[in-house]
Amino acid sequence: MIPFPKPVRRTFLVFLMMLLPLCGGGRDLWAHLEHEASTGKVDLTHFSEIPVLYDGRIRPMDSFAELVLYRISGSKTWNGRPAVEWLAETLFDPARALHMPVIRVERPEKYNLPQRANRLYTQTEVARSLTARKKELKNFVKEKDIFSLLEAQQLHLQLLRSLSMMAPLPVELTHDSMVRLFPDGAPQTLNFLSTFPAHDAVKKAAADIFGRKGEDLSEYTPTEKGIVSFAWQLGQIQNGGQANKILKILPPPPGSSQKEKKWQTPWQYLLSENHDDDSRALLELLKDMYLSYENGHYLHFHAAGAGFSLAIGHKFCQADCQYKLQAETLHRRLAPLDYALYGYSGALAFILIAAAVRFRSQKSGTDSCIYAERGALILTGCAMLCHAADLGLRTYILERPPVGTLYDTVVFICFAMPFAGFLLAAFKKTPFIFPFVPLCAAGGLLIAQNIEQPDILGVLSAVLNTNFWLALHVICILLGYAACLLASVLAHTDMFRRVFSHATPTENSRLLHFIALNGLALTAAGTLLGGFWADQSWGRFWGWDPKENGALLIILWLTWVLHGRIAGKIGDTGFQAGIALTAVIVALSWFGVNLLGAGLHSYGFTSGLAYGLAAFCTFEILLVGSLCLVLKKKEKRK
Amino acid sequence: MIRENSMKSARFLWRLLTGPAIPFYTLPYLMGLLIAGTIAHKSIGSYAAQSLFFESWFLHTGMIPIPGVRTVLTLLFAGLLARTVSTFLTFPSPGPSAQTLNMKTLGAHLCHLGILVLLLGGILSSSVSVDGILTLKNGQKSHIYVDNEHGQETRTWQLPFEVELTAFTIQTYPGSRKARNYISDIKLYAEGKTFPAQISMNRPLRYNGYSIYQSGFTDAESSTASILTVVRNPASPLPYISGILIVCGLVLHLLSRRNGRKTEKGMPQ
Repeated sequence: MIPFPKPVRRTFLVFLMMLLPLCGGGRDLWAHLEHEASTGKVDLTHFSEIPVLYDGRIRPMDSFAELVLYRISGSKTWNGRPAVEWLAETLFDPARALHMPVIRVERPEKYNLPQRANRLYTQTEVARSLTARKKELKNFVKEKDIFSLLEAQQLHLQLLRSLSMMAPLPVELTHDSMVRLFPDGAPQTLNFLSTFPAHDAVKKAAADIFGRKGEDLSEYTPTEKGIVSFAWQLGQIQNGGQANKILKILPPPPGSSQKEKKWQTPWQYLLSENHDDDSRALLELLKDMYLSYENGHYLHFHAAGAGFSLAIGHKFCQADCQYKLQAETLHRRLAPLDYALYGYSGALAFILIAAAVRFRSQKSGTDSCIYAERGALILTGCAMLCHAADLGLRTYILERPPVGTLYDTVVFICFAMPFAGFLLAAFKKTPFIFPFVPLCAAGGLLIAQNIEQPDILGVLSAVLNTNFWLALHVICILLGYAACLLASVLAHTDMFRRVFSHATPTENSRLLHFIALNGLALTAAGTLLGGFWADQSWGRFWGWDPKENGALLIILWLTWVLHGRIAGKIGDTGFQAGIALTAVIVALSWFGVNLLGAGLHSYGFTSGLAYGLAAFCTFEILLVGSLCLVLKKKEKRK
Repeated sequence: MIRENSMKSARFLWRLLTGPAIPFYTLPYLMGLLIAGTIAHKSIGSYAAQSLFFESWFLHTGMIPIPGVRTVLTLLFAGLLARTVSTFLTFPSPGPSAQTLNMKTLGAHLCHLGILVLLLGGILSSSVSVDGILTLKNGQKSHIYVDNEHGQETRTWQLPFEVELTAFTIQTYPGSRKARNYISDIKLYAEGKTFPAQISMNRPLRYNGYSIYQSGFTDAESSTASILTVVRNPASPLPYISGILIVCGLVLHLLSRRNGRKTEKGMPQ
């Protein structure tokens, strides 16, 4: 073994350990490559980039896939596969997709469906069950779960039929009279799209046969049977597809007027009167994708997908729209929040190592500690850069501060609080805060990942649709939450330090007071701004709405604790306990009021998290209460 | 003797009002009411919860009525008023007491003044403000709005001008049915003149002391009607004044703490 000097070995060890968190990302990449290699599956890179208009904005296909899959199955992946793979199969191989269990049924026993652990059922099963119980279900029409199920089933059905005009028709052109129906000669593959020029002639011929021979099929010749069957199939496919409004994949042609600037589904385009050449070319590319996927010509599929993306990029989308789509694709591929989470977790590991070394040696500032602490510092910095990149990209994509949903607020606070802690640790000479920076950030990101609603980058409801008030009010309130949580973390740290060491309560009381005061100032300013916004939107400054009450609760709590301290009614331990419990008040205000499902602030309602919130509040109250008791006893002994 | 006793009682009352006891004991009670009232939104509905907890002087729960939010806020208002008056009576004072007015405590006193103005605004708004609903169909002209207290039409009011709805538009996000904006194009007839105007979400029309907001619409089979909320609240500037006072006060307070710490460390201010 080469006798490296000790510092070099330690640096190498630190470097290796810093790579560990990245193994999380590497593992995903490896799994992806392994899957590609083993299944020989189609490359969906270009397909994932195709823009679709859905839910209020133009988004890349993989974002559309994830959102639609979530609405159908309640999950962002299907059988561990990315949503875009599921979508490709649903669009281009509907016959197979019909038998894929993907629709989530919350109460399968109600619909006579077999019990399954994942509660996922096929389109065929759900449709059959709903048809069989049609009369009974009418009595339950007001029940929310039936509506949700019907919505999911219809959404899936529309997806299955999105490209049904490209599905092969089971028709054979057995006679010359049938071939003559096509003005430009019979196409090689028979489907609704390729036979479109002959539709009128086929329908007319079928109507003639009906007129002459009636409905008795035994009177028909084989050719007549073929024509009537052909016309019937065309009618069936058109009936199924004409109401299709989901896959808005064809952009308005360049030069179209403002009124006509509407994205269309392939069905809407085909049945409309304006058939411009550019859209027709796109439809042809889509047909190529469909046929090559169906026949297993995946290279051809990839090329057609690239052609489709390029054609849209060059001819249809404006530069701004292109950049946003690229930014969203980049955001999805890089997943900066995942890397932030790995970074924070790695930093935590380093902090634990440093703590263990310090505990063993009982010496502060030994070499090992310094290396581990530096590693933690670098990883936290990198993680915060990834976190900031995520927020920056989301702001650019949405053209507004990313604070519109509960998920957004968690991600934002997870950045604001550690950032403030990082600055405090660096500039206020309070390094003991530092370990809590990655801890809080990683914990918050884990909560964000487990919030029911996924990160859909959605549009805002009409009342929230003002960047001015959204930026001022919500960001101010969220920064207030972050300051309150930071103060709470600091108070916890101080209480623990006092229990386990000889630290005095006054060591950090000024800093604690300062952070709590900042929290109060920001929350109060944010609440007042919210009042001004409410005055502008609803004509009243204050309406005792649950969300307003939640913000007021934080203000009252901090006012009480700070004034009690100034007036001498609350002692040092009481003050620390009061600030520590601010986390409970913030949690109640932030998540608790959303559980009520009442009031005007309807954007954040969620049915989950109740048990988690209750557990957190109970744990916090018990913990702070126990620490208080121990500290009181310690004070008495002195 | 009686005079002495009265003086003693008055001094005791004054000390009680200006002392920290009132906020210290009433704030936790207020928080309790706030939590109970907020949870009650779920079970008894927003209107009942507001009437029971937040707009009542007393809560009649069982045999003994307990103070409601109005009573508590009035007590806090009285305490804060007494404290502010006593602060200004003792001005200028060189002492370091938190109650006296000097550069160090100016921020805190500004905050208190702001809260006083805010509470005063609330009291005035509840007594002098009038709000109601003005529902207009396309082409309809009206100057009457209905005092719509939580869905029950009680009184009608008249505007000193007439409003005609020329067009009502619901803007949706492309490719979705989600509304992006509700816009009412109106004509305002006042003093023999006609003004075109537009009311939309977050953009009310303010005219002659009245504010008209877009608050909803009805989508009946016959035609769509725009629902506008008309508010006349002479006390409406008070929250804005109080907001400015509170924010300035908090900023000053934070700065004074920072400067105070620098001074303590012997650094130049």
